[in-house]
Amino acid sequence: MANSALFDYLLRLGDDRLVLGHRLSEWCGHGPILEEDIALANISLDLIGEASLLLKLAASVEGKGRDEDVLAYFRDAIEFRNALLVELPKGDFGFTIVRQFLFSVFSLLLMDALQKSRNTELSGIAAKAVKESRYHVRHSAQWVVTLGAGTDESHARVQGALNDLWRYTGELFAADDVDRAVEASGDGVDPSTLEAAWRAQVLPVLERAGLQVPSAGYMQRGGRDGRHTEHLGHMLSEMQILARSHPGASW
Amino acid sequence: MGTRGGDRVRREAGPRVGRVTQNFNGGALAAVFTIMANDTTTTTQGTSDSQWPLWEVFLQPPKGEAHEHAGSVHATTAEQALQNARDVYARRGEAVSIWVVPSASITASTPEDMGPFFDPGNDKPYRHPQFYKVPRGIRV
Repeated sequence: MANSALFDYLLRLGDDRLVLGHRLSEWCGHGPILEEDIALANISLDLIGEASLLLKLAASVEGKGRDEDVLAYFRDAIEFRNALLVELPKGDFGFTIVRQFLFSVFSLLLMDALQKSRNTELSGIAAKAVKESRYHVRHSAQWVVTLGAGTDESHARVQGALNDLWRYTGELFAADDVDRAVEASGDGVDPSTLEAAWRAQVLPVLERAGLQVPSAGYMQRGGRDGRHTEHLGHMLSEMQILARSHPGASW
Repeated sequence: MGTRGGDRVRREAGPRVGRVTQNFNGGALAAVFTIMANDTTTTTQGTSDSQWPLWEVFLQPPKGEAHEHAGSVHATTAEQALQNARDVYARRGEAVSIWVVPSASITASTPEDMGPFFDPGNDKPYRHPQFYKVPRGIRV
């Protein structure tokens, strides 16, 4: 049971970053300005790198001979454990930035706490991810303020994005048996313990950006159990086609 | 990025496409190229109007030498310029410190200054220290 909970937990960590990393990679060549195109690709590569390490660790915990590539490219949508927030289509630049900010603050807090994991491999990955997340927060927060306090057009776009995204934030902090098991064993962190700190970091930035925080309402969830939006399947078909057409190919 | 792309490329874009057009002697294909050439000119001029202010980027290498000019980025604020410089020029461990300076703040010599500024230095070899003997025990 302990191993199976840890495996599920690591899949959640890895899939969040793999899926968001892929969504960011969709900006490559389409960024609003060359410098930002490179910045988004950098963040994307950070996340895919973290995902690769986390899925590799998940595969070794599972012990069934799978590796990170098999987990990334040969699972179907129903087997993915990412939160719904990260699988939503990239939208416009404002949407991408608001999502990145909401997720990066969460990721920074989580990785910071995971540095104390009993599992030394996981704590090592977390130590690397903390530095990357700190930059992701700084970069996305700067953009949230710039766009929110910018023109009427940019303000309306990020406010709209925030309104659409807010209902997907609850799932990040929803704890279930898997989370409680890894918290109890000292391997992982119960995400519900991070929500207060997340609000304390997110709300001041939204305020500085002049954005209205949507009222707490119904929160979407399902991703942690494999119940995804239709968007994930479309994304995976594109992400996985090369590996599935040419299994074992390398370059 | 200013020094590598920016104005220079933009000014060249029109004529370069234009030259391609001249290689075709009429016909439908030539017409297409002409349309493309016109389009390119229009779009690139449109882009130049929306460019953000330019910042010069200086990086200090990990070995602790002085900051060196690395290139330039577009940004609307100093913080954004710093982040763009980090992402464009320092993502492979090239630096331990970054300076960004608004390009407009730099006063530069012009090509016309070449003669009066630099030529007088060419025939005064005694300004170099090569006539001095290096004391024993000093490695150079």
